[in-house]
Amino acid sequence: MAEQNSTILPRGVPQQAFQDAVEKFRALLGEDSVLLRDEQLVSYRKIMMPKPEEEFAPSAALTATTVEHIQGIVAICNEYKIPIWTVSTGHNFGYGTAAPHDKGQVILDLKRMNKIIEVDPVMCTALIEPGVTYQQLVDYIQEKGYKLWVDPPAPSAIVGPVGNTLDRGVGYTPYSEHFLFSCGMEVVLANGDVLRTAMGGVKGANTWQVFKWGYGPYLDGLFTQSNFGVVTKMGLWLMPEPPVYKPFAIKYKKDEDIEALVEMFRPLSINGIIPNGVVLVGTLYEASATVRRSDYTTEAGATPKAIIQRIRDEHKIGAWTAYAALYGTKEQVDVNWKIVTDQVKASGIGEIVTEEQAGQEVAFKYRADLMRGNMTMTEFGLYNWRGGGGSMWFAPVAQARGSETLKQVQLATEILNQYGLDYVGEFIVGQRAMHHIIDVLYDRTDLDERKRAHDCFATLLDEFAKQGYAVYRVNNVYMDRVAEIYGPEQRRINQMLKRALDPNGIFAPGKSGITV
Amino acid sequence: MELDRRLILNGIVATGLVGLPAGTSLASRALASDDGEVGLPKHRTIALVNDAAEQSTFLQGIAATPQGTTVEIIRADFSVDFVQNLKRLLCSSPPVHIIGLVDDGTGAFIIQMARATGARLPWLAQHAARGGKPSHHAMNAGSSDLASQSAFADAQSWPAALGLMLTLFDGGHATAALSGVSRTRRPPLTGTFVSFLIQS
Repeated sequence: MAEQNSTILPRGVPQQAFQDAVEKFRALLGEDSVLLRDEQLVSYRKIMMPKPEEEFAPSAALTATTVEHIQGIVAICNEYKIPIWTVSTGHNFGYGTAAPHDKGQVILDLKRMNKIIEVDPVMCTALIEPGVTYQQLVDYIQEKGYKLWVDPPAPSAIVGPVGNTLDRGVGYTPYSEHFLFSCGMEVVLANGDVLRTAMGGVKGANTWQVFKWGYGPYLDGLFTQSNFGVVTKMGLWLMPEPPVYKPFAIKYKKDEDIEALVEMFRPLSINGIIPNGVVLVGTLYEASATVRRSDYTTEAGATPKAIIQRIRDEHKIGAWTAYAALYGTKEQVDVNWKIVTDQVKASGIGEIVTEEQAGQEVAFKYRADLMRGNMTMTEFGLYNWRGGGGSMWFAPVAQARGSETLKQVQLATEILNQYGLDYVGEFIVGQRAMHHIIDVLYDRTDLDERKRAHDCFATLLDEFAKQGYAVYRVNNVYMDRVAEIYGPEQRRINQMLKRALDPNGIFAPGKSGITV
Repeated sequence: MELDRRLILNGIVATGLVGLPAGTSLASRALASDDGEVGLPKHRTIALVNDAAEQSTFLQGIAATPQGTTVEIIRADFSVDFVQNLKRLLCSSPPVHIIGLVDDGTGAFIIQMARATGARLPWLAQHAARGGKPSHHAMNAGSSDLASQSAFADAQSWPAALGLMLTLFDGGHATAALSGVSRTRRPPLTGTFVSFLIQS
């Protein structure tokens, strides 16, 4: 079969140079690890962003299995100035999926670098490669009989710890800040060096996965949300299975209840009474586990308030539902449960729902699974709320302050509704800050709606920036725009680092707005 | 004949993974290639469906295949069991063909899982059916323009045409396959969907 994608080339790379590079990739990796045919590449083009997929079409994809492979790829890319877009599992959906930043970039897919190198049940640590999925890690832990939990983000089973941590993703157990619970990296640099960060640099050290800081500047952060190297191993900490796990929900009836809700949960979070990432879920996010918009209306535009109220009434969904959990010994959990329930009662609002009371309720089970690190795919129901395959996570950071939440919700809802879209959001509370996670869902098959979604997202970024808010992560389309919001000084220093570490700009040009 | 098969198919869908013998003279006409021979799949074929697509004519189209064709039907959902079953199929030996017409939610992770296992996708498309007007967007380079083909422009018959085409997908045979799918009395499929052919 002809290589149908030969017409798509990396920017600035002549056809002959590309073909020469391909031959070298084949010699290095083997024929089957150099993907050029349309039926091999089309799945990389299945995007959720509001642009034609052609704009993100890769020229090729490479799969590697060893560090030496990565070093060889880096050498070839430097020789031919081939840009590579690295993905570990590439399943981050509304943050760009596996698509490169620019058309023609070669994808370096690390899915086959999937070795679990070590799980230490005493130190509660793991050392893994980028292609390892949470399901794979859970299967391994269960097979060994270790009493350890993982902390997956919502797509759980099919995504992996390395990719999510490097994008500074979050989960839902007490180990929800993934970068905080990572420890030690191995990175292939653009000059071919293999860097082991922190204690990993010490010959014979057995502390690489237990002490994060090492000596001198802490480097690990440089390799998150960046394009300064290819991470080929990462250490992470695993949570010991607690004797008692008690998930619960609190349902709140009114939109404005979120203000009191946050004021109540912040001290519980900062004081460690509730140790996990508490989630405050809005009506439509909660409903998406079981409800579709088309069940109520087929009219275009934002879903009317009256319909949202009907959904609340008919499905017994709160304006906000808080999900949290207690972990520890029975004595610890009993004490903390009393503190929580006393506070809720004293507040005079909110209906507590325990696991026993929830029974088989789909939304509760989904959240209870996430908060104990179980695999679940329920979140994919979001993509059926409006349908059509469009999704972008708009994720501004907020202070964990009641007044801030209400302000952000109102601003986001107003903008989304103005563009005919819905507020489908939740907050994840991590002590002092919150990730405000809004899924901008739209129908990609409707070109008018796709255009509106594109403009809506840009307006969200701009209007939030005017209020001093910025997102912590974003899909490929808006990376440059978000980098602008973080200011020229940060852009300049990122560029200086890029020029120093990757002078040919072969690693993921455009990632987080960083180029040579 | 057609009604009986539909009932059988519905029964199969309700019970999960089951072999489906099917065959009609209609299919034989439909699948006649240029040299007059009927194209039969030479591999194990599995069809994934769910939700509205499950009740559509998509399965009817699959049933309109030549005698001797067997297609197993699996309902796609958000369960971890389904994910694990799908992974097993994607990694199975000998390789299988997995075709499907599913909602956007399951379609999102099915395609990603196919990529993760190194499967090929000769066909990947997005479909929207609103107000009696279907529209189709095939993502593979060089895919046929479905909108210009009468069977795919018809609000009722396009899922059947798709089912038949995917079951016997073989490049040049696709267009010939479309002409043989008859109209049906079923209500038109409404909503947005993802279709695929995955070769493990």
